[in-house]
Amino acid sequence: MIALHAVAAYLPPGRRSLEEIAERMDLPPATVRMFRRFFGFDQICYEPDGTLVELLTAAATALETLPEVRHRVRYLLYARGVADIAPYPINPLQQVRELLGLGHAHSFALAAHGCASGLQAVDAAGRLLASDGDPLALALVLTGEKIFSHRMQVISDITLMGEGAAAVLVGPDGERDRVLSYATQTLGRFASFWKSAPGSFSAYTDAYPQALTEVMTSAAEQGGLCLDEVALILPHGVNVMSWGRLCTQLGYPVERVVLDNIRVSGHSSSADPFINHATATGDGRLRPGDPYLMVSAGLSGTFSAMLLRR
Amino acid sequence: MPSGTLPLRLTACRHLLPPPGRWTASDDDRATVTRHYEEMLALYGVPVPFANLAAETRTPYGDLAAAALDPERDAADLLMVACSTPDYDARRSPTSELAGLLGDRPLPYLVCDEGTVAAFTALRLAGLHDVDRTLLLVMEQGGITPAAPVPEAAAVERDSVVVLALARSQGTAGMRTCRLTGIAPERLGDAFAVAVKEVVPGGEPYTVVLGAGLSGLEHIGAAGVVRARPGLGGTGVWAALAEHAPALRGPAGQVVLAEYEARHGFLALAALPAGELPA
Repeated sequence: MIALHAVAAYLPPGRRSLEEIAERMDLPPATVRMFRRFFGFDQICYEPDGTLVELLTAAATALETLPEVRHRVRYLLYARGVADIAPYPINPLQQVRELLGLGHAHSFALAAHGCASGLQAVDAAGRLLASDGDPLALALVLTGEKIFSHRMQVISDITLMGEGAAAVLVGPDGERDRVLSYATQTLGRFASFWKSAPGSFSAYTDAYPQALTEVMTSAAEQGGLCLDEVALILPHGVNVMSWGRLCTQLGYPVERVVLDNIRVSGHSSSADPFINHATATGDGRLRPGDPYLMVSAGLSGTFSAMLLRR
Repeated sequence: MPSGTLPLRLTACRHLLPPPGRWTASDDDRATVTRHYEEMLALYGVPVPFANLAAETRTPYGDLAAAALDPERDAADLLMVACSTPDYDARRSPTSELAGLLGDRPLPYLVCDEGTVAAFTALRLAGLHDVDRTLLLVMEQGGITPAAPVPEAAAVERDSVVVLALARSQGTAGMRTCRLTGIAPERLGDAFAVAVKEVVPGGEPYTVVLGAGLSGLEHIGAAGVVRARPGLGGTGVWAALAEHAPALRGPAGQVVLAEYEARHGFLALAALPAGELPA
C-alpha cells in the first residue's frame, strides 16, 4: 500500500496583504471586506521576483530526508494547477530535476485536474512504484505555482491564489500516511468557465457541494469508513466560508478541517492539502493511526479526495 | 528502466493532420488571455509580444481532439493526452472538455513537460489502470512559435493528432515500455541496444519505428526500420505507427517504437506485439 514517506511545505517569505492585493487587482472595498470577514483571507504568499524553479526547488529542499534518499528517487512528478506555466520550450521541471541532482529520475508533469492534480500525482506515483516492485524506490511529487498574472490572482471573487508549494516523497509501502483510497470525478461541463459565458461560474458553485461530497464519501467508503470516522480533513484552500457551508451540509465538524493556512498564505493551488498536512502533523492535530482525507477541487471541473491513515 | 508487461492491446490507431484553424475568443476573453500570457512572458524575461508566439491560426487542443474523436466510436474509461507544445488558451481545460464529450466517464490525464516522449509515459500509466478502454491522444500544435530554439527533431511544423484506442488485454502478450534517462547523444547507440533488450526480452525479431530524435541511429539490428517524418514533434513516431500499422502487422515478433528527447537525455521505447496490431 503506497504511503507518503515525507511531506514538506514551503511558504515563500514574501507576503502581500489583502489591501495590497486589492490595490493591484483594483478590488472594491466591499470585496475586500468579504475576502477578510467571510472568506478568511488576510495575506498571501507572493514573490513577484521569484521564479518557479526557485519555488519548486525550495519545496524539495525542505524535505530533510531528500539528500539521503536522492538515489532512490525513481520518478519526479510535477502536479500543475494550470496548463501553461512557462513560455514554450522553457521547461522549469527539467531545470529543477537537474538542480536537485535527480538526473536519473523519470520526470514529467500532470496537469489535467487543476488544483486537484496533486492528488492525481500521488496516485500515479503509487501506481508506477507498485508496478516496479522495488520496495526501496521512491517518487518525488512537487506542487506549487507562480501567480504570474492578474487573472490567476483572484479567481471569480471567491479565492485569492498564493505561491505556497509542497514536496511529497511517495513510497510503495510505509508505516505512516498510507493511502487507503482515491476517488475523483471530472465534470466536463465546467471545463471552460474562464470564458466570459454568462452563468458559467454560478453553475460550478451550484454543483460544487454535491460533487465534492460524492468524492469525499466515496473515498471514505472505499476505505471502509463513514465521513464521521475521518479524523481530519486537509482541504484545498478555496476559502473558509465554502468549507463552513459544506461541513454544515455534511454534518461534519468544521473544527476538524485544517483551514489555518488560508489566512496566512492564500489558496496554494494543488499544494494546499500537503501544506495542511505539514501544519497538522506539526501541531499534533494529526496523530498516529488517524484516518484523514485530502480533498481538492480544480477549476477544470475535477473533484478529488484521497483517504490516508497517519 | 523497464515497465514489465502492460496488459494493453492496440485496437485502433489513426493520425490526422488538420488544416490550420482559427483561435476564437470574444474581445473580453482575447484581452484577458493575452494579458495573462504577456505577464507569463514577463516573469521569464521573454521580450516578445504574446501574439508573436501564438498564431491566430492555431487550434487549441480541445478543438483538435474534438475533431479527431467520435464519441460513439471512442468510448473510454481512461483518457490520456500527451503533448510537448502548450495550449496557450488558459480559458479551457482540454482534458475536461474531452471527458465531457465522452460522457464524463473517463478519468483524464494530461502528461507533459518531458518533450517529445510524453506519450510513452502516458502509455505506461494507461497500462497501470484496471480499465477496459483507454484513449491515448498524442497532440501537437503547429501554431505555436517557440520563445527559444528547439532542436529540429522536436520541431512542430503543423497541427498533428494521433488517436490510439487501447483495450485491456486478457491472456495476450501485452506491451512493454522502457525509459532511460541521462542519455547523451554519443551513448545513444549503446543505450538503444540495452533498451531493446528490455522491451524484447525474448530476443524475438522486431521492427523499429524511430522518431525524429533517432533519425541518425544506424545499425539497429532490426528486421525492418520505419522512420518518422520530422516536423510532427511528439506525434511523429505514433503517426508513423498509424500509417504503417497494417504493414507492420504480422504473425510473430514485435514492433518497437522509439523516440529520443535530446534536450533532456530521455530515451523511450515501447514494444507492441506485431500480431496484435490493428489490421
